[in-house]
Amino acid sequence: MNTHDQFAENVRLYALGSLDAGERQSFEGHLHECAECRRELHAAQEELGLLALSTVGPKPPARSRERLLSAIAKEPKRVERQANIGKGWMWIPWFATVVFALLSALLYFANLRLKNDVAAIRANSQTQEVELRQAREMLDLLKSPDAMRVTLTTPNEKPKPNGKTIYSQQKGRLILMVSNLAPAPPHMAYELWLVPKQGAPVPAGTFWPDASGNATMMQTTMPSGMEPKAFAVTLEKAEGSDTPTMPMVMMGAAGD
Amino acid sequence: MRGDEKGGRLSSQASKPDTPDATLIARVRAGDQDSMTVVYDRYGSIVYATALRILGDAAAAEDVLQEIFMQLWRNPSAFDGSRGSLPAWLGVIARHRAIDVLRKRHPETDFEDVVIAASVDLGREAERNVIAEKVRGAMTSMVPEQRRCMELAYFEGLTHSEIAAKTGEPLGTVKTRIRSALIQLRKLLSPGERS
Repeated sequence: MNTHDQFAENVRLYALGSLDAGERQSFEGHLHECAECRRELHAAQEELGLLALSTVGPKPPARSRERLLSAIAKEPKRVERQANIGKGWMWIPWFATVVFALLSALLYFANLRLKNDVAAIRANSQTQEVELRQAREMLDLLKSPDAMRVTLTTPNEKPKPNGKTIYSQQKGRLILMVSNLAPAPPHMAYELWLVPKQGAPVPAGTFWPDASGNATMMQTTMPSGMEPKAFAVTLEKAEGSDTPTMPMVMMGAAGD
Repeated sequence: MRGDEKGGRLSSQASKPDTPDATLIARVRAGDQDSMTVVYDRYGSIVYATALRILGDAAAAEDVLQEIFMQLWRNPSAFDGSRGSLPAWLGVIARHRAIDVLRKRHPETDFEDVVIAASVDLGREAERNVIAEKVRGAMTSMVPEQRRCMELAYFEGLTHSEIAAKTGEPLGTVKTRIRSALIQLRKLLSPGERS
């Protein structure tokens, strides 16, 4: 059954008002695009009209007729009478022409301004697109499982665990990249802490290094406006902890 | 008192009971009150009976009747004679408005939005009576469960979920009952069946 068939089944239910809100909305969306369903709907409306026609009941009371006649008499219609337009109204076409010319000029300048705005928006959008693509490529590289991380040290020195955090205080976003970290013990995880200048350390997410000892973590929901004194990593239970458990595995002071 | 000379001239032509609906509506558009009276005399009982059946309250049904004919007077162009018959259109409008009143909600349907097919000729009273009798017969011949579903949907304006909850029947069954009832009705009104 194709999409149209599914909607076509609901035509009569829609005409009756029997569809639930969600179904009604989605049917109305389809109705705009489907002439066949519109035709079916008109046929279903006719069926409903005939049902009304078959309803038996008393005639409306005479007072209803009087009430209606009295109401329409109080609301005489304004009927157009073209023939009564005399020479005294001949200025109307001239006036309309002047108004039309003014409106055309106004629309021309408005159109010109809109074109300029659209060009500026398009240029801005292209710049943003390039920036977004670069950011996405960088992020893809950082998160790629085959990304090779090599720590350069002086010759013959065994690589030590190290990490980098990039944190934006205003945006409340943080990236952590670590390498050479030993696997976390069973049922344990590494947890990153933001140590603010004032107050207790704030948990910034748990992570597990891969087989090569590397891990990358992004946090986009950090509370904004916190001024960090340092960042630290501890070993915690797998589900994370509210307060850091000593000793610290890694630590770095902000601004170093 | 007629509004103007044109209205007065038209009114003398419009007062015949056999004037076609399209002509009456055209005259109503021109502001002819007599033609409006003929429309009311012809179809007021359809609107009233529908509203009364739905609302079960004579005063409320009278209000719906009044509102619909006043709307037609104010905006007769809402009815497009080329896209349906006037009695069927008024019947649909009456049902919508009465259900809005029953459910204590603001009117949800614009008069202009109601467009109906015109496959059945309802121009003469005798034809209308034959069709109405057929529709009544079709409703009576439905199995009680199907008729109940139709009545809940048509006269109480319940959604199929509400009908399912009220009758205790599965949702799919309710949908099928309503759909097949209306299809049955359509078959009954098809040219072959009518003859």
